[in-house]
Amino acid sequence: MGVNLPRLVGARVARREDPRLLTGQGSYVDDHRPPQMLYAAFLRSPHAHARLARIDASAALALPGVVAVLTGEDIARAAKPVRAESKTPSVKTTSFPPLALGKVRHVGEAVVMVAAESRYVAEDAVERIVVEFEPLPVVKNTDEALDPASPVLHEDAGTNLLVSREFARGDVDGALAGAALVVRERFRFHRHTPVCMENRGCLADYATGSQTLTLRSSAQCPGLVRDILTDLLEHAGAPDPRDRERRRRRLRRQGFALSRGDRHVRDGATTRAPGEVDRRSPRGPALDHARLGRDRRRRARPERGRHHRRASRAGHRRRRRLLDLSVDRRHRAGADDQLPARALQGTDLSRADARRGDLQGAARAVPRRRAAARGVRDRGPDGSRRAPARDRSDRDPAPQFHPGRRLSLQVAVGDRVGPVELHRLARPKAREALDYKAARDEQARARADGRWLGIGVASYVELTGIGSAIPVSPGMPVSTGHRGGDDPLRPRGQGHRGVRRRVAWPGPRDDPGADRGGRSRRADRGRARAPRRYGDLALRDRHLREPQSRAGRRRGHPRRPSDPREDGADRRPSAGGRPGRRHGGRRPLRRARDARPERGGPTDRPRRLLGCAPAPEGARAGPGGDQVLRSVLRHRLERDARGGGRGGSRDPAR
Amino acid sequence: MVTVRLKVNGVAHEGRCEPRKLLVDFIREDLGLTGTHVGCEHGICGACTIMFNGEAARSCIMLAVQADGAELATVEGLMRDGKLHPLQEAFREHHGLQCGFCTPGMLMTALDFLRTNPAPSDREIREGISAVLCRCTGYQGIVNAVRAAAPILASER
Repeated sequence: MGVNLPRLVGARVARREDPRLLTGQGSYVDDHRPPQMLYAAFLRSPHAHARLARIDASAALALPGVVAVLTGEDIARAAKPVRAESKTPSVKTTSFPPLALGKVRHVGEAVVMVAAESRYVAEDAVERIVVEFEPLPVVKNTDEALDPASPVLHEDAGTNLLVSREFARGDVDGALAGAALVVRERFRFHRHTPVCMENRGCLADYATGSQTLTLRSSAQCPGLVRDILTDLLEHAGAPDPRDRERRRRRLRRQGFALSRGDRHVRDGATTRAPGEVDRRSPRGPALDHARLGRDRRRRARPERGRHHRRASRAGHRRRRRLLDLSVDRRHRAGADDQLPARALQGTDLSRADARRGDLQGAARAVPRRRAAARGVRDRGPDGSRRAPARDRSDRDPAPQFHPGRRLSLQVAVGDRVGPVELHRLARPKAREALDYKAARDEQARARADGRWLGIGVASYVELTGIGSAIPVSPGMPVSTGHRGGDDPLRPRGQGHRGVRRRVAWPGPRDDPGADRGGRSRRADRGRARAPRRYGDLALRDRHLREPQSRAGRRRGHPRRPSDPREDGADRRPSAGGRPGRRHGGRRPLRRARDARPERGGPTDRPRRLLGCAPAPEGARAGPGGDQVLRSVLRHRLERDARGGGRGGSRDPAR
Repeated sequence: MVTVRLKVNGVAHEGRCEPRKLLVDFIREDLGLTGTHVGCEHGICGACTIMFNGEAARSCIMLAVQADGAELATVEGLMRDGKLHPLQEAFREHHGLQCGFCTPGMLMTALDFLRTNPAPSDREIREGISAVLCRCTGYQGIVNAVRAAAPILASER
């Protein structure tokens, strides 16, 4: 069996999805056309700040093929506004209606939505809608926004300053006062917009009879979209939590590719208004299918990047030793994004504002901040910039300040736990729990077989694929990231399968026919429909579930996978050549309790994860010693513990 | 509404559409051939590239009525006898794609390019595919794939 295994390093791993994608059989959002599908088009605000005085859609409604014209008031009856709540108590939460209500707050904000039988007609209808805007005063940047005399964007907040926080360690001012040289720089980061090849879009299919909404979205974070959308669609008339749970279950997630969630949440919310459509336009079918998107115009507006203004001071000792650094930073989050028009002042190096929905913040702040930090750090005592080549060679081997280091964890923990040197903590623990030496031995054996096996240990905080929160370890209040589904190694979207074959242990098969094009297996769908609950939240992440009795767990898994499925081969570590395994080609899945050390799970789990020989008799994993590692190894653990749960707390913010 | 008759991948089709309907929408919606993708809708990204009477053309800046009587080829028609076209094989072998959204346009563009230039240099390949945008690969894999496919296609000719 080992002979058939592809080498992971030094060899190409053919992607399973390629034959499909190369022959025009991809499955993008725009490729799906359910019967009676309607197309949506939006009238968008040309103003940054204006009151909506009058909307006249009669000419649009008179157009043949137009099924519905919806305004903010219509949508408000079917969907709640997006509210980005934060666990930080001082943050003022603001609301975003799916369509503008009363006034618009940014250029490009959707004001009216048209649903029509073709996109051509829908866009014709948008041109016939008359909206009278009464322009309101605007501000141009964060400094102006913070002026008390400036107009307030969100009246419910009462101010444009939504949160102001300070992170500081040590006596920065004192250190700077004693510095041989203080370098001051100001940095500006402009807004931008990402433009994927596949347009942003979603397709909503609402089955009135079963009250099931199926959303296809090009968003990269389907879990987040589902969770938030479920809440938004729980309109005032249905506060029953059971109903909410039902809706949550029914909101099934399907394919996704590349983009960001909040926009999709809002788009999704606009799709669910069948009652409204029926009332307003009796001559058309209910708005059961609506396609949104494929619209570059919205994209063309730089609406997503936030406008940063940053003032940095760096104090140097002589000989270019950085002494201390202070950063004052203000930025907006984008008026239509989850945290609107936020002006934020922070001192110190940490990024305080990464939180739910703050996808781009977490992802983009890093290079931005590094660039800014480098900007002041690398300006030497003589005031001149270091030459790039010299910069590399001349770098202090043990720098006193490493913006990238503490950064990663600060993003995750904010100010709640305090600075932890993740890299310093995690590495030895990871080595220990991994049994690095055993892994190296296995690596050597594999290499003798002609396979190259890589061992990598990383401390990494991933916040970009936001789904459900993942605590850093069971019981710890720190969330390292979010996940979109119930199986981290299950391919989603168009291109994940090939990637998975490289990071997970590929099986001997390389069968392009096994590619399901991002569609879930029947077993997966079964699981997705039956989320577990933790407190008030439906949990789809197995490791977030509360520990349960075995009997209860069995009841909860009527479809527990017990046989190797079509892609099980590349999910399982190879059993080839290992002595003492009970199974042959068909590897029985271990029981759920195996995954929970508190229930006396096997002690050699890390080794087995790496496909090493079982631990010698009597060896126990150090109690509690591998908490950080567990998050590092989560994907492997998760895969290995099919159906297994690990008790853990859920990030209280989500 | 006007009637459009055309051949796509050797199969005759007839459809009725508005005179303003874009060719790419006609191909995707009326003919159901969703392999041709719509990216920018104004002739920049090249994802919609098809073969129009044997030459690469952007179907998002053409009207369906312009294709009346024409012979088109789309990415769906590249396979022969259930096997990938050599160019498709080369793209797979050299990782010339990731998300696959630009790939149909890239394949049709490269096909046209290799027909006119059977033995291109790397520079010429880059120039030849410059009409199609790819955000995943950084183009290197695509250039490698086109280079590898060139002699195979030339020998088949």
